[in-house]
Amino acid sequence: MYDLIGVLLLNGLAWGLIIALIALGLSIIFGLLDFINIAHGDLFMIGAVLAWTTVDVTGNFWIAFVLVPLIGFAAGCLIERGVMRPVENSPALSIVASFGLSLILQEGVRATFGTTPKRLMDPLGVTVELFGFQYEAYRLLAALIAALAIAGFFLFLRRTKLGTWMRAVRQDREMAIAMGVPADRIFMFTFGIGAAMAMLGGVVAAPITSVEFRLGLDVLPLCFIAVIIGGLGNLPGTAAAAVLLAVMEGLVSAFAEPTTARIVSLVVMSVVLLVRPNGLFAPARR
Amino acid sequence: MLKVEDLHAYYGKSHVLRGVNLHVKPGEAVGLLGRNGVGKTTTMKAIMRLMPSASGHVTFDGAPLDGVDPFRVAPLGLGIVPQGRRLFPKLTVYENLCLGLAKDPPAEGLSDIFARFPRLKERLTQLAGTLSGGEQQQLAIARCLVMNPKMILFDEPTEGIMPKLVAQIRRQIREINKTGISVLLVEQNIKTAIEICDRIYIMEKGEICFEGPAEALKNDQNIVHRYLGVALR
Repeated sequence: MYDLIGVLLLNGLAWGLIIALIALGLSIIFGLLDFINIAHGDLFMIGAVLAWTTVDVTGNFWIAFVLVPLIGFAAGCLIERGVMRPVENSPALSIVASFGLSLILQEGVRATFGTTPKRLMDPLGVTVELFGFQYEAYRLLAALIAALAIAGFFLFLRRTKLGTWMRAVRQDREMAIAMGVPADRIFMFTFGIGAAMAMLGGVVAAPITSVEFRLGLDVLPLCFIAVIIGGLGNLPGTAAAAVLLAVMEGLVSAFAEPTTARIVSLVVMSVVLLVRPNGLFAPARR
Repeated sequence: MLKVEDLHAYYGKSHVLRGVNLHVKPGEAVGLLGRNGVGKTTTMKAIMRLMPSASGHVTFDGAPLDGVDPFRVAPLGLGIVPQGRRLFPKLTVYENLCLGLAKDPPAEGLSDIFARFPRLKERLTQLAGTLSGGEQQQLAIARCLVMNPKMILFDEPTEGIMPKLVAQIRRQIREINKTGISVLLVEQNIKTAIEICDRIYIMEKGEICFEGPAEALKNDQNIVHRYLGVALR
């Protein structure tokens, strides 16, 4: 019994770190640009599809770790210019615009990739014995890669000029411009980073899930719940909330339907909104 | 150094700048006075290209600013110390200080700044939002100086500052001006303006309605009373 819980916790952790990676991208795009990106889950799905395609074409999974985030960054920049810029300063319109993008991405993949869910081979093909179970070593690696990417993102935000500029533009766009910060380029860059993180999440997750055009639909609500529970704009809070949620959903779905697990998440979110509307990790109200 | 010609600007439908003309010579300190809402801050924003001007020209250091990307204005040597200081509260003092520089300088590169603002040196890793009002104003001035400006626009730098510190800020602005940096100062406090500036403009309803040496204001109570509605103590 305890062995099973141990495995479930590990699964939840790996999945939670991947969700955290995606949710962080969602959160910086929302926090900086007031853009509610409904297509964010689909960027994750595209990442997984591209990972599958990379294996299909080159036979090498690891190339996807380099290639796909780069494609994601470029795609994010294009989306910022083409989809976001025209509806700038209108969060409501951003929902409509990105919902349209979401449909285009899903239907585009359905038309080219097909509707059948596909599975990737375990890229390591190694298992380790944990809690008396044979555990796929790749899941541990997936957790590690996601954790490293998250740590790298925070280091970038804290330690580089570009990261400082991103935080400055978010706090006071006009003053940042008056100090010589190219805010428009920062916006584009932020969208690029956010999209790259979602697509990297897709690559990491591809071998431990089934790859199909609806993959983003399940992930997006969880990311939004993580952003809300973590506190809007609270990036470390978002990451922590994502891990907590995924672990919790993993544990619940071991004993009940996955739908029940999602209901539990929604209930937790509602309670957090009622009791701590600024997020679970926000300091007590001033 | 700075020349503003027939500058017009609108907020929505309201015509807030109705043909502003002013100039600042190299090394000069010029005051821009006027009651609340006559367009002083708008003039500064339009000069910095932070808001679009409908017509008119701004020339800085011999080159036109019309059509220049707003973020390229500061690197040309035109800095602003805005109303209310507008620091980035969740960035550290150091991050605020070096924000406008493409690369963070080595510690000794900031020694001039620290000599002028010793308090900031002790607080580099603190968040800017936790500084006192006076310290925040120091930082707002310092982050502008770090970029080696040729001219600084000050928008009500003594507003909301403890009376004890007002004299210190006046002195600092004068010292900055003495190093050859031109100053355009927007003020509500006439005394501060007269003390710092060589020349004064007064604005009314989006236009310049008076121009003269600071001395003239000191000696002619009528001007002060007519345009600013206050008596100079």
